[in-house]
Amino acid sequence: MKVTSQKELMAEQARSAVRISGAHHSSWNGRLAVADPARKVRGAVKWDNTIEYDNASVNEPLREMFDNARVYNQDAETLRSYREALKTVLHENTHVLAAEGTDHSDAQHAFNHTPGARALEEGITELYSYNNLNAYIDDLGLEEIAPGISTAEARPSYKQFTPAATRFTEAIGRRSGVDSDEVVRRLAVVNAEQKFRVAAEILYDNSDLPGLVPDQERDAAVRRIETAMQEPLANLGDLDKSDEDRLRRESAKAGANAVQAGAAEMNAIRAQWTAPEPSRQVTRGPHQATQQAQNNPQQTQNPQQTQSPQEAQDPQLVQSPQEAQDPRQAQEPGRGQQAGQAQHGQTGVQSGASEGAVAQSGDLQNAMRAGLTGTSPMSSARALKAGEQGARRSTGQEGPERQGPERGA
Amino acid sequence: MNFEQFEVEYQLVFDSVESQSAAHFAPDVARLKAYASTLEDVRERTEAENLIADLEGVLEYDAEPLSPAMVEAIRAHARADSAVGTPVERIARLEAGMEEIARIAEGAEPAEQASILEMNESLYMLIMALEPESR
Repeated sequence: MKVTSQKELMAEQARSAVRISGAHHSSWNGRLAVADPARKVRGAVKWDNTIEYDNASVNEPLREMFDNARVYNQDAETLRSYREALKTVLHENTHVLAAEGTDHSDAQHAFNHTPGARALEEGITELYSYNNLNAYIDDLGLEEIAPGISTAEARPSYKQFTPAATRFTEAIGRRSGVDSDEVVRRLAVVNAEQKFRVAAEILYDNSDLPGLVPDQERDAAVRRIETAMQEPLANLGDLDKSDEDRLRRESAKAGANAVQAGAAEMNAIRAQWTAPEPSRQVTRGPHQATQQAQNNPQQTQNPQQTQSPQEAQDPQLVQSPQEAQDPRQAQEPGRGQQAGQAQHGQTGVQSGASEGAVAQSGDLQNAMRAGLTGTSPMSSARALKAGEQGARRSTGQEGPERQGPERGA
Repeated sequence: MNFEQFEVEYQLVFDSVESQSAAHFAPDVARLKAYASTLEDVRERTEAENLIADLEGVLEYDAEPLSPAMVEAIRAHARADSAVGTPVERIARLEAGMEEIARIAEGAEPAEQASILEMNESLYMLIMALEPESR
């Protein structure tokens, strides 16, 4: 929508930011406040979603811009003051962009407490608002109001955070196949609490992990990637100690480091959810194992088959912790099936069962691996009451109930 | 060379990046690229290439030095943003940092004043986030 007055601009500022960004909504509450001159800020967003602007550096230049509407050949300094004021407006309106069911204000706690949240929030917000200022000007028709504003100078801010944000989004783009500008946009349209999560989701959803990790474990896996990426950006506070030549390099390194940490966590998740190579199996009766697998190929695929509790709890029978963490276990197509066959055989040999020995069920393997995801699978565990003991049977098979509660006697 | 060896070589180069020119690292980048090309596993080779691209992106930041005023303001911002102390102590430090950044902005060249003063915004938003915890 083209605006012709400062009042119209202020009324349209949030809707225009939503239009150019494709955000779900703006969480601006519709209230504007004048910043206290003693605060010495150009603009800010309060945690009740009110936007405030400084009179001298934002409101006044914008008023002057409309007073001088359609005046050509205004001097560079005047045009710069208009563009800088408008850049502040877009920066604040980018802060309040939010995903469905969320608002900027929901991120108050994260802004203070989540490692790296402020660096990523300001880095992405500045990067997006600086790079898309002309789209905002076009949407609002301001080149007609202030001819020359599209090419006037307005320098970027937060130079301690923007190199990190740039390298962070580029590194995500490289690994996900999503254009880095699109990565910036997707992070800009969610609040400060959600930016790391969205970054982790982009990496996860555009990798092979959705094909390896059960759907119900997706959130836990994404959280691991999200957490891994936070700490490197939290360390940007140490820039105070860097010499001036290293400031932006350190910021850029932090951005790259954050994604590399996320990628390393993805490798750990991949290893965890991928069966080990045959060569890395414990070599108990490999001949029998292979023969069993060949004789009973369905057993490795059949989720109905079960495993004894002892086997389920013995990590050596499944995968060593080292193997679970080893990024080299990134699998080629087909490798998982081979490993599954060998694993089946190994289990059978260890249990001392005959050819009909049972393999791990898919559900059981998932449960064991879920125990390594950082979640707490036993968090709901409690001692069984007398009437509950011995009552759980997964297959419905009949059998003698256990004896009464020794521990309670 | 396997991927683990590549990672060791890569990390040595990445960690050594400080303020040297990109040209200084050209032989290292060429060496890492040669190593990466020998990795047989497609996933590992792709990961190695991504890491090298990360490094090249970092090395691009050697041509635009920051002004002394911007460096001073960034340092003031970093000190003010420290998470050390109680909410009350942090708010006091943030307010002092905002005063310092405003002073630096006033003394900077006109074209840079806005971009320096803009940094007070995040300190102010942090103050407002801390205020409920300071009561």
